[in-house]
Amino acid sequence: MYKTMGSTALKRLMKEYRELTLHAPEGITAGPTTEENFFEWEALIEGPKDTPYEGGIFPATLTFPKDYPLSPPTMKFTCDMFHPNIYQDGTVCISILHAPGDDPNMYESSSERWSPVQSVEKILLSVLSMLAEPNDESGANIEACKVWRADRKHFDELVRGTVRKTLGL
Amino acid sequence: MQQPQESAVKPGLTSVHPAVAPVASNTTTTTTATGALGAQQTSTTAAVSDSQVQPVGQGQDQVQLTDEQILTQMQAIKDEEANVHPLVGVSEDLTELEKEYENGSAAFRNKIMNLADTHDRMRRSRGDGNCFYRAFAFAWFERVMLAKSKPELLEQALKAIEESKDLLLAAQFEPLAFEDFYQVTLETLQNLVHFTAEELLGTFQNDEVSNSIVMHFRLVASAYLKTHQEDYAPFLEFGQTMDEYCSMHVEAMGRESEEMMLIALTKATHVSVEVAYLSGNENADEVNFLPFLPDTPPYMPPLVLLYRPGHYDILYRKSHCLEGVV
Repeated sequence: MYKTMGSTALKRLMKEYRELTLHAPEGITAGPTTEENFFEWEALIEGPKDTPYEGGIFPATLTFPKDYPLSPPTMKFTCDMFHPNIYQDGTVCISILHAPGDDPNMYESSSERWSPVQSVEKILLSVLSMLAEPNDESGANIEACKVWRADRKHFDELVRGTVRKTLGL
Repeated sequence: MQQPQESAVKPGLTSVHPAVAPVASNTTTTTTATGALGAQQTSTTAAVSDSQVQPVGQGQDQVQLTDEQILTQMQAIKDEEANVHPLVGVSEDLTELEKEYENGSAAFRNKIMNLADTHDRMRRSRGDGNCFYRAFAFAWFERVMLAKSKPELLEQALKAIEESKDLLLAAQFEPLAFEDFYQVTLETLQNLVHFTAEELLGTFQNDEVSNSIVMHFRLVASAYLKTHQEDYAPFLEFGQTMDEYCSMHVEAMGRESEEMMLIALTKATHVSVEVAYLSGNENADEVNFLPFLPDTPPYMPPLVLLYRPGHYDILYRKSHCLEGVV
């Protein structure tokens, strides 16, 4: 009856992976990096239409804790990303990746938080809408916040530069 | 609301017991890995300064920890905490509670003395923000396990857990979100007839099973509140929706319970609870008992929980059958 650490997490991750393979939302692909380790995922995110990220395909990794889904995964882009809510090392900083009470960036109380009712799919959809609509109230990249607030045209140019880079142009 | 606001010592921390200084790592068990270096990792590192990881400085050249290192640290903190306070402890004589207040105020000592007339044992639930849910689940399941001569207790419990699935669906939870926790809770209940008291305790001390059961009861409380919004929404802060309240305070691990969750859980499971409120009120020598009753007639005596501001433990009433408790 005693369960070994991580068996609930593994079961849940396999279900989520199956579900994502069958009904992947548009603009998102995600799955374990290798069949041997379900706690490390790779995701590909297409830049949303009508945003400076359009046309780009952005790779990211998701790292799951052994007590997933009680605790959230972390998400990190592995390409250059210029965005107010993404740290320079690629780490994504949005409220859905933080449990209530864990408040590094003073999220609004109504913002969506991590709990086991969330899922990889919901995280990735939140990231998609984060790309379309940055939240400069809880910034992770201060430089990106400043440019986004002060000079939207310049911001778009800088983003398009990183998009070209990810496409190898 | 009759019950006082939980006055946690620190945000996200349920005080363990007043006589014992809170363990530093308590504060960090609720802070999940953030991935990026922030104030939290600084405190995390400080809490495990014995380990081989270098302390994070405040300056420019901060040590960049990988996600894996952070997770390893988090686990080390949890393991350390588990050694000091198991998720659920062995039952203790009520004199152990008296000892905590030996040098404390007379208000506490008098109340405990009076409490000892009718109650003789207690069992601690870890102060990790989940103490109410874990104490409730353990007290209920232990009751069912001990009542071998009353199979109707098991039947009622199985019925309640099976019905909880319909409640979760009615509250629009996706099966993916709840089915694993539901399954673990149901299986534990089904296995109770084969359990020894030690095995039940071992089950509730096992992170994976114990936390799954806690999570199930969290979701059930949330589902009850969401499906009975008209009764409970008036108690929320102005402008807050029931969905927001539940996602902030009920559905996430480690979030402390308020009176509303006790009401929701007793009504959703048809299990009555009595909360013995041990306060420092100097004008009273008796512990105040607050009843939480389901809408249906009770089919067994209430579970008894001991409440001290910010924390719940389990109490054993002398008149209830205690044979076989470990």
